[in-house]
Amino acid sequence: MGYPWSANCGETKTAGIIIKDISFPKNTKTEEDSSMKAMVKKIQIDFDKCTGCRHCETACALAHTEHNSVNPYQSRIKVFVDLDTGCSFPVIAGPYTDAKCTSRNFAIIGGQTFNTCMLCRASCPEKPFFFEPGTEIPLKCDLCGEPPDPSCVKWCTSNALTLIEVEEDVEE
Amino acid sequence: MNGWVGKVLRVDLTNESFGVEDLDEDLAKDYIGGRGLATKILYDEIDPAIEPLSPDNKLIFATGPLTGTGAIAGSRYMVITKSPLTNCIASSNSGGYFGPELKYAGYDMIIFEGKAAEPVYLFINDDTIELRSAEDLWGMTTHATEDAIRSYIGKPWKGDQFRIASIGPAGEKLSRAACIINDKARAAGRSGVGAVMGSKNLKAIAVKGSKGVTVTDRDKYRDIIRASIEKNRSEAAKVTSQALPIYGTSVLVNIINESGILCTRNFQTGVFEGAESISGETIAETILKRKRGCFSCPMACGRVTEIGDPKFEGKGEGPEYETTALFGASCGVDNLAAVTKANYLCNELGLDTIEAGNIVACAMELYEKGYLPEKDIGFKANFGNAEALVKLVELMGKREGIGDLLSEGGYATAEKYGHPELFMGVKKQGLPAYDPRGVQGMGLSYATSNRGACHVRSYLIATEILGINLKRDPSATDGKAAVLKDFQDFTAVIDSTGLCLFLSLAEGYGPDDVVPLLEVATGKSFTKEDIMLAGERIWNLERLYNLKAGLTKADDTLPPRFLKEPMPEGPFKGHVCKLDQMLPEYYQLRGWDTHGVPTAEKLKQLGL
Repeated sequence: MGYPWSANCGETKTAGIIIKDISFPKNTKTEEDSSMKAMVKKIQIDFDKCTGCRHCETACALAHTEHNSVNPYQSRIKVFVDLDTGCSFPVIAGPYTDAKCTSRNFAIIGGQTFNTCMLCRASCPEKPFFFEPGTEIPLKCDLCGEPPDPSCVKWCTSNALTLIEVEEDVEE
Repeated sequence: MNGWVGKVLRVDLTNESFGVEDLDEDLAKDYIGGRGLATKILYDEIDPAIEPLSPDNKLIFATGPLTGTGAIAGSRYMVITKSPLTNCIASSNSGGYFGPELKYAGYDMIIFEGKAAEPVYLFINDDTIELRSAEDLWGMTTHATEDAIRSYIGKPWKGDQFRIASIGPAGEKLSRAACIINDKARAAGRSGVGAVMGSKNLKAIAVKGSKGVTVTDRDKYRDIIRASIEKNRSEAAKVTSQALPIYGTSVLVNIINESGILCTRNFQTGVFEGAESISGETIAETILKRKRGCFSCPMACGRVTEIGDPKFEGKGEGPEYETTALFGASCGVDNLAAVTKANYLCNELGLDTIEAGNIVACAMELYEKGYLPEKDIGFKANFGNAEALVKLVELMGKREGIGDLLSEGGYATAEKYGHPELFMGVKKQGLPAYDPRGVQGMGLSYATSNRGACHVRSYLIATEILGINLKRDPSATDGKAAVLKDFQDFTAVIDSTGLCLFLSLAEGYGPDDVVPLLEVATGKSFTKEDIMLAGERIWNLERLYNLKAGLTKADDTLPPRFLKEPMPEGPFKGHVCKLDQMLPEYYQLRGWDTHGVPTAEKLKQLGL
């Protein structure tokens, strides 16, 4: 199944809407059921709480740097900030797709209109983020190791990022 | 280098040429960075006798060694130049994302020299540096400028990655109250730095950097930051972890009003009957939409707001305390929508809200006393007139009608109508929103500030009113000079590191919190004594520059209102500011002679 955390999707919420994000399953087999249940750690993102301080970006960069470098471009989380509405969208690195969307969508959440591009975690030719500067290696969130202990969550003072654990069915 | 990125970008606007210089490591250690290092450059390179709005002036944007390193509240940059408002040093500080981005592009500092023949903006994308035409941008508001530059670069994602600092119409038209706005709502506000930018035909700076900044040991650095996050969550840090995030800086409106020192109707009294309706609590209940933080800041004191009142509609950021108090109390206006609207106009037109608030309040008093005739204004401008407040700010920003005179500053306005004593300022710069009759130390702080009246050179309100660390009697003069000196020196340190001064509002915050960050970030050894000496060095160098620019002891004073007219009501009824009881002691503690000139002995001690 490849990287478990890229195959499984977690939850993020904005004004009560749940959208998908990253997770890290820990497999447990239940007795009655032949399907696999897993306690999965996920980073939950509450967009309403994010202040756009981008401390998660420096936390992530510092946790993963090999050169003592603080560089948001080396971060696996990026906060897209809409300066006009003041809304901030932390997005955790998703997969690269070599085609950009052909249509641009808007979503109305909590009475405000958002460009869904802001919330999208994919990296694409239109929005080419999550590549390490210089090497162009795609960046992926690893939840800061096993067991998950993500730096971004620890540094998030506004509680927009929290680490949650939920039980989920996973593929065997 | 670590901490510092080690490069200074010099832009010659006259000849459209660039140079990248190495940062002098020894100087960087002696002056830390930001405010300190830029002051050193100002002192060495800008003749104090020059006319501030001439091409001879230079404009310096400077970050500190901790800017953008992830240190909490390490977002700040400084703008240093010779001020067209005060004619002495201008030293304005701003947050947001601009400072860190400049460092990530690989520059600690940009020095602008000369004057561009046509309007230009500076484009920086790592090593690509270009001066691009700003003909089409000239006349635009700061918001429109940012939007336009981002769309030139590429919509939406390429442009969105650029952080932009710009001036609005006020800066272009050389208003002495003009500021520089970055990230749409953060301001390097005071002393007319926007006018210097305008005088150089420099509309904006757009920067994107992907190089990052290095520290010496990331594990140690992360440990320090994590500890400071925990510390900031503790009860001791209730101002920075609770008051500021929940209510923003306007949490002070009610506190300061209850203390009887809220600037009311151009500082005629210290108690404003309409304080509740413009307070941080009311803002949180009515117009507040979101909280905003500068780069890596847990305090998030920024307020994203939207006005519901159709008469003053709009959305944007603010108001913060100084703005609320000066547009509100000082203009006698208890209409939060009008105050907020005036704030939005300032952000868009590029005006300093403190200066603009003082100028409008001064004009209102001149009008009420019959010195400024209605025909010169064109409408009634009495205290409490919300429409007049908004209209006057707009005229000032656009330099239309009476706004043309107001743009020259409050002192010039009051002088024109024969009553310069009615402008509440020091060294021609407007007073922040605390009446010094009730807070003696703050009075001394205003009088001795190197950039004219200012609350962020030494925020003695923290001890005299808020009682952070130690509650000192606000009406006592004893010992205030010594406290002030420490505050001034430490503030110079904080401004030079790239940290935000608000960190010092946490109980117990001091040089011991800064030293480990500086050491691990830069790899140089610093002691508490070193950095406090650096702070003193910076303060003295600023003072020397001002003295060379022609300022004297006579400028270390307050408007006569605070020295002679007793406070009419409130807890400090009957009080005046007893400046003469504190100033000689202050000079002595500073190691200055009786004329306020640093002695040779002091300069030698500081290595100046």
